[in-house]
Amino acid sequence: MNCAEFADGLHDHPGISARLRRLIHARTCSACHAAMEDVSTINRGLRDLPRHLPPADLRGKLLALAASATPTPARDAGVTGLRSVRWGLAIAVAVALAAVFLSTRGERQDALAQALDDLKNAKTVHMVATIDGPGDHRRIEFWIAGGKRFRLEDTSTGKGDAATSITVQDGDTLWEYSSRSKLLEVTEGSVGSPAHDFAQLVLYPQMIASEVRRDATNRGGVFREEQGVDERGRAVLRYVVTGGGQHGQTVFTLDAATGRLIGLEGRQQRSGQAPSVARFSPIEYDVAIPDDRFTFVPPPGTYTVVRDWWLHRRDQVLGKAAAGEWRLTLHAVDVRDDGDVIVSVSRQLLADGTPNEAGPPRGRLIDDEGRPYAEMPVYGAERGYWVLEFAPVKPLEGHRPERFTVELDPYPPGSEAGLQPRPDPGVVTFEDVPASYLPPGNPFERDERGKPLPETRPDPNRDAARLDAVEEYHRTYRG
Amino acid sequence: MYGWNVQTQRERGRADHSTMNGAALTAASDEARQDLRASTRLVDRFHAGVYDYLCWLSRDTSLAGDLTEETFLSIWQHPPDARRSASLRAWVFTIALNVYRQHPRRRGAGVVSLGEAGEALPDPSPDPLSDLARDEMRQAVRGAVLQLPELYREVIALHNLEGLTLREVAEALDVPLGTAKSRLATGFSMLRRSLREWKGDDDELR
Repeated sequence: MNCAEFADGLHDHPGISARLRRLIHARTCSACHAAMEDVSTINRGLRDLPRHLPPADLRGKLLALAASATPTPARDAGVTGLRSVRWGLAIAVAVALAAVFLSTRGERQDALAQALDDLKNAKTVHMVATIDGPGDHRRIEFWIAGGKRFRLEDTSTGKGDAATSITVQDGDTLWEYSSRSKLLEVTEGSVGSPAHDFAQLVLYPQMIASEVRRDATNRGGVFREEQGVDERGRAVLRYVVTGGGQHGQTVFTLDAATGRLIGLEGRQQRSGQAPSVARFSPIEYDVAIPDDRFTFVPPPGTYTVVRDWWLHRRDQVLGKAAAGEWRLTLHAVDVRDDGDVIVSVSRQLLADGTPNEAGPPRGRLIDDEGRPYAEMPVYGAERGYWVLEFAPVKPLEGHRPERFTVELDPYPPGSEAGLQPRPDPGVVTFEDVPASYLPPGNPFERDERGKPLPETRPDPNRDAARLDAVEEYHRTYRG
Repeated sequence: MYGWNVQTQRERGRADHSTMNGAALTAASDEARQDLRASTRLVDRFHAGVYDYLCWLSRDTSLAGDLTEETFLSIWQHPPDARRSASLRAWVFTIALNVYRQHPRRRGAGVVSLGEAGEALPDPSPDPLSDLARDEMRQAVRGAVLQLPELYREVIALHNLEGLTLREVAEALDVPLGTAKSRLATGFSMLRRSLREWKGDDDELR
């Protein structure tokens, strides 16, 4: 190897033999040695650079953008699919309203901004929304308290029998109930749900607005201000925005005396379809809401599904490891009927005793036949508890794995745990870990008596994710 | 999914699970457009990396936030070409780069002073307890990266900070692999010069 070849390959990630050749050259050439050391130092410096963490509200903004920018066609799907589509539509309507709002200017916008601020800052809000679209009529009643507790009752009468979905969040637990399937899903923790996203969007219309600012400003729209009296005899100000993209017309109604938003109506129309009309009225502020609105008692005959894997696994401990700064607990290794393996693990920073919200641990898995499993994108996380999923690199045939070697790196390089330098040891190995077999499908798609629930929609991203994981495994460990 | 807050970790220096062929890309994009949950996954998978990348490019956290929104808006509105065999990750960063390049508030492709860059892009985590020498080095590297011309900063940010392979970098920049390598080498050489100046001698950087 000469200096030119050395310089040419300085930023490659070579195999062992090429690496050796480079090292040998570097020993005989001080300039190349210095270059190699410098590159190594710079690489280390680059690795040490912490990430610029996105603002806390950016994720929500992006999800709202997705809803506003994308059509949400109805489809005949399972419970999950239907729920997602339904909330997608609702979110799209909320975002559309905010988008039109943003196309207004000046003092009027200030008045509206103040009205929206009042909505956001109210101690409690009670409101009713109706959404009429092609083949669908929905009525959604909201009770919201302080942003953390809410209840939404959503009744749809568009197709077939009326069905009601009730979503309740008390700050610690989320209940999602469907009258059609008599299914109650209970999720511990302040986890999200489509309905929760919608409640957030309604509470924070300005947040939505900022997401679509550039888009909305291109929409134009004609603005008109009216004064009048509503059906209850109150003096009101109406701000009417007409035109602008798909948004036919939006009317904001403010109480002239208080400046509060007391009504909102928006029309959307896609070409060739009947218009969708969303009305938010009444909107009531600081009303007394009984505490029992923020809890849910299932009606008789309800299937209850506790969706928190953690609840099912936290009492089991298969192994523990600790270093100076952290503790890692392996709770379960579960094999699905399709051969994928789900590893449940929790991680705790000892410095402050709190679970750590940084990125997930990373790992490798080898079964008792020596077959490797590739790590898939992280399955789920909640307050320091992680669910990692692994796919067999080769399809499993014959032997049913019973035990696994589990390698876990609690704070992998690049982890945003705020631990620099990275704690040692980097990787923990749990050997000879017994596995449990999960019943076909998702085990938590059964009620507590073991009764199977209606089949849910298969996850279309799953196969792609498995393929990705296997490809990645081959790339990482080849050679 | 089961109702957890799904979080993904994009680990530096290690490839993400994101290589797909063109058909899969389109499927992912279609899914993203039609299904809020798929959109959530795409956002969870990439938004932190895209934001970080745009911070390095724009040297302005506020602008980076806006550009991240534009990037995802563009992703939702313009699904990738199904015939294109590509990495999903490279495609996402291509969009981010294009959004940045087309943005009128882009701060120019040239060199800015570290002070100028630092005003709009504060150091994300100055840790008072960290090792002083290491922290000084880290800050020096950060400053040197921020002062790189954009042509080289975008390569180093993609490869060394966001963990794209060189092939993915070439794809994201729409340049031949050799060009990506050459820009990376030039960028490193400029970093090296800059850091040696910072150290005030001609010794190695250690």
